[in-house]
Amino acid sequence: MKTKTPSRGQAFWQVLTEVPGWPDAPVSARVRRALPVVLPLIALFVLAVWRWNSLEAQLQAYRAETRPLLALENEVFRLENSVSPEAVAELNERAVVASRLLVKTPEEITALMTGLKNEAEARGFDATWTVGESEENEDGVVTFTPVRGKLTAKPNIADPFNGLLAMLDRLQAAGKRIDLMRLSVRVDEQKWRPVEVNLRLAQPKEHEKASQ
Amino acid sequence: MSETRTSSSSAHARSRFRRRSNDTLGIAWLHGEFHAAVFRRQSLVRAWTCSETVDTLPAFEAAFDAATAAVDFSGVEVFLILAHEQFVHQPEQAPPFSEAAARSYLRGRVERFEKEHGPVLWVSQRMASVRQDAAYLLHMLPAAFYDGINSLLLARRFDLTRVLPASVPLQLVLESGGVAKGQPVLLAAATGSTTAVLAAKADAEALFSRTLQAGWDRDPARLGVELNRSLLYAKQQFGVAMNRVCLLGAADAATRAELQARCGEDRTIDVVASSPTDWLHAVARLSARHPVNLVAGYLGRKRRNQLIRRSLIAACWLGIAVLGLDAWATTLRTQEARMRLEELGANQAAMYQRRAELIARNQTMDTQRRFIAQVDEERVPSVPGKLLAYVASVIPQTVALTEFQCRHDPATARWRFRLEGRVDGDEETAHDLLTSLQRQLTRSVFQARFDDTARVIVPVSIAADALPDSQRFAVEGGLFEN
Repeated sequence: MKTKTPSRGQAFWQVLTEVPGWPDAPVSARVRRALPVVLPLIALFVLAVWRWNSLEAQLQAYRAETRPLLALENEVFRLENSVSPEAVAELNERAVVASRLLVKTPEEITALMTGLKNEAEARGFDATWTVGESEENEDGVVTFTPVRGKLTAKPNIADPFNGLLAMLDRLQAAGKRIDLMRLSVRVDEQKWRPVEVNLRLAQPKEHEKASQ
Repeated sequence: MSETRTSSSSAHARSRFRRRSNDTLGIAWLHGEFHAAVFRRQSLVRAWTCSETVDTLPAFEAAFDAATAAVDFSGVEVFLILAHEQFVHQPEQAPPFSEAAARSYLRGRVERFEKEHGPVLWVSQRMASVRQDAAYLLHMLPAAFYDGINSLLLARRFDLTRVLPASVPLQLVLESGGVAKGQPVLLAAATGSTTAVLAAKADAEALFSRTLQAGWDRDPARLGVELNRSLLYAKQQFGVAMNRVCLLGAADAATRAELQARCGEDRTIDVVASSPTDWLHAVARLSARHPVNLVAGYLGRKRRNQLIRRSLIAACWLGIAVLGLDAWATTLRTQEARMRLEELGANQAAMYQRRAELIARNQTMDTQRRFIAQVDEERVPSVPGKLLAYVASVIPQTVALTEFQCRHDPATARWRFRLEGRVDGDEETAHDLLTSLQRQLTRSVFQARFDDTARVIVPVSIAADALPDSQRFAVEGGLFEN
């Protein structure tokens, strides 16, 4: 291999610089003959060096500088398109509707209890409501206030059973979130004993109240 | 002397450096004779014959310069018909296995020759054979002799493209119809001080070739004897009876009579007017790839070098074009990247602000979703009233419900219930009615599941000695559906 390399180089040199019909052409003529190959080669080399060292490096620098900004732009785009404006409006509307279900102040609780008492009165029951302390709810956005109620049927009530059912339905239609947690009905020798009702009222947490 | 010649040759070459045409110069160097002719597109333009004997390379060089001047040759390509004492023609019988085997055998013969006489340029010419062996005629030209000719041509920027033995133009004359075909013929041509002989079959296929050291104008008797020996050789070796001898060139009646006398009265002696210039003309039509061309390999190498060179140039320019396009495209991409960077940089603050707004919006939405879920979607359904109504609707007339309890268990998020009452009838009746009631509640939308251990039926007696007329019961369970 070592012995062939110079001869191959020599052969290449001959191919490159051979002047047809002039084997003993001087170096100047041989160089002139080689120019059509050498000049493009030099140009190719210079072009390649410029392309890969200067131009590409510049492009990569721009791209590296642009990358975090592009990521930011993409993130903004992703966030923009993660939720449609219609969905935002709908959610806001639902949140407003949901917030109306909450009993926000003690006065509102009192008014609600008064309303329920009147409802029970209208259906033949004497109602007493006892509002308890709000339960702690660490994870939730609402707290619950227990209400214990006792509905005593009036002696002259004609149909206490249907009156009770209507009263229970009224709890759901009160416009507030009232959870009926327990119902206890006892009848003794055709006489209605006081009906025990345990309710739960939803209230916003203190900071939720402030934000609303 | 040598330096003077070289410098004069170089000067000659430089003076011709720019003066080139497509003309071809044919040289016939035949044992002392020197003929030159210029052909333009295979048509004879001008011919010249050296009046002096040309035997050596210096004499050849002088004759060549004189010829190029006389014919005013401005081309590059030169071909040579050579008949010289250094140009050896050796018949060989090669094994008939294959072309490769024959070529290998011939190469071995050439190598043996080279051991004695030095390196040669060689080429083989297939001849007719009557035996199983393949007959060849090896043409071997000493490389030093060729280099001498080639060097002086190259020094003048001429390109020697063909070197052919004299047998080639003779066969061309035979094939071209210059000599009537149809019967075997012995062709004799004056090649300077010698006579080239070619024996051919009726279909013009060459049988053998000889060079006789005699000419019919100087020693017709001796030539006649040699021709007759050739006729006999053809008869003996190839079984071909040749009754016709054809002399290419000019021969007077006395010469013909002498030859007739030596060859036999039954042989025909014809004279065909043909000169070395005609042979040059015939060879000018040949391709440089003719199989008997001694320098065909050199030409192939030269073409390959030219192809490599041109390919290299083309590849370089193509590379420049491709790389240039790529660089242009990269420049455009760089400009785009710069503009994009500027645009993004200008909007950077706004984008950060917008991102913060959107993150806050999404957090608010998450809070709202949790709020809605807890306030509205997770509200406890109003099961107790519905269950009470359902129990009241399915309970039989003979069953009196005294207690109904339904409560929500926050730990399991399920409803628990308890029913107590009284059944009028015996224990079995109470059992059946309760089972029926339980089945109805189990199959209802509430899918009640009763605790087996919590079911109690107790008889109620009014008097101590009387049979109980009613049964008290209590059942408990849970609801699977709200």
